[in-house]
Amino acid sequence: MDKRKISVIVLITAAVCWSGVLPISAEDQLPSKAAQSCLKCHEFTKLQNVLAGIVADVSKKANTIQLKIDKDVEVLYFDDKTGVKNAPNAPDIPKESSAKIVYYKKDGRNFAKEIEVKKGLEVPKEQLASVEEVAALLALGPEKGKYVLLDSRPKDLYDEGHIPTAKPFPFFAFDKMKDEVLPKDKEILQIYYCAGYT
Amino acid sequence: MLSPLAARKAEKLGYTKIKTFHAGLPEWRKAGHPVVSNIANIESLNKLGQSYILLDIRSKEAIEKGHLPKAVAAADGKVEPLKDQFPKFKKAAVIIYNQDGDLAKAKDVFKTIAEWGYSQASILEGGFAAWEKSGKDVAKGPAASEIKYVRKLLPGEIDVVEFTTLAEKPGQAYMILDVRNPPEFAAGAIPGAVSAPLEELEMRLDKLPKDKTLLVHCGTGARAEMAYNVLRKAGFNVKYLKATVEFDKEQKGKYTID
Repeated sequence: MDKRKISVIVLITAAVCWSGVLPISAEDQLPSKAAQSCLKCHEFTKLQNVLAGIVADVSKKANTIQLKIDKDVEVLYFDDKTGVKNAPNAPDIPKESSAKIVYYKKDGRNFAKEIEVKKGLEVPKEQLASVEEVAALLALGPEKGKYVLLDSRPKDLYDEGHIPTAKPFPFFAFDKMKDEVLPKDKEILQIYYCAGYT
Repeated sequence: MLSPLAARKAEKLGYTKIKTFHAGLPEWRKAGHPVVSNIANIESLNKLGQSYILLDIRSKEAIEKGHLPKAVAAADGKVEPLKDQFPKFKKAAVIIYNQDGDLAKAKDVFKTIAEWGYSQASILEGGFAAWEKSGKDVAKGPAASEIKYVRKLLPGEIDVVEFTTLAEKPGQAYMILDVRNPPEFAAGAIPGAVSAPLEELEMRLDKLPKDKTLLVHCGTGARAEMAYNVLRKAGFNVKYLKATVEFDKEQKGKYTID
């Protein structure tokens, strides 16, 4: 792995760090699976009994959660004993959020022992741009407004729909594209955006 | 989630004038601001065989002189008459274009469609001029007057019409599986359907037939999709209905699928 890649991983790992895994007895060790997007920053392969991916759906009526792990899908059951971190309770875990689930088998079913919803990153207040602020700059245009608007999402999502005047600048191609995208003039305001908090 | 990380990386490079619009694109749409898409998106939709709604909002004369091959005419931005032809599926891609991509001219149409609930509407960057300049095919004469949108079925999903036909004429090759709770099932169900509540599904796998196609439904499609994934993994031949099934409270056995 080249140095650039390592530095990206170190940065993200430091920024978004999962807490440790609950101890699980040796007899019910189950394989761990994680989506590629999770593996970019976390090492789940060494762990047992962990599923990590995107929450596709939660059913309040059946007490089930559906976790998308790349092209695979896992359905897990939860109950009152299921621990939940970063969400008020299991039924209210928002769709599309990233989650790490410690699970076990009971009667042939996958049960969630603990669901940890990934928390968004905190941005210092003075570095936050509001929707009004972005709209006001847009009305001026990049030249008069002295800004570059940068879309951190993957390029195909940018193609599908982006804020007018934004440039594609996928986060995972940051190092490759930075010289071509970022302004030479350090006085120009850079505004980053993506698909929101999740 | 990615934007604050990108901002930190830029900071490390020595840039100081950096901000993050953390609420991002969802908030931008919610505030009613226009969103733009590009030609690469249309190319990708075509390549994937995905359906989309392409609206030409220029004048009738301009449309007849040349338009994008799959465009539907909404001459002079009149979209109201087309409203009934829009699909129920609100995540359908809707692409609006005018001559040059001028937002001032297109944003009202965009706003109307966004207010109808279409969450993936966009205005084509550069409009017809950019399309023509890129050397793509241009159709001449009047553009289509009717929207024909077909949502692509998801893996394992069964078409509503096909499901309804099979539900009305149950055959030996199929079994309708209702994965709602027992009280929901008791209050009303599709005649001939077998109750298999999602919360107990895995404990009953040995009671389900492997030689039939299981057609799974619930009330909204959400639990049906989960049940589909459980059954598929357990080696069953299974399809699921991603639609709302409403049961008549007065007449038992009567239902509507939407």
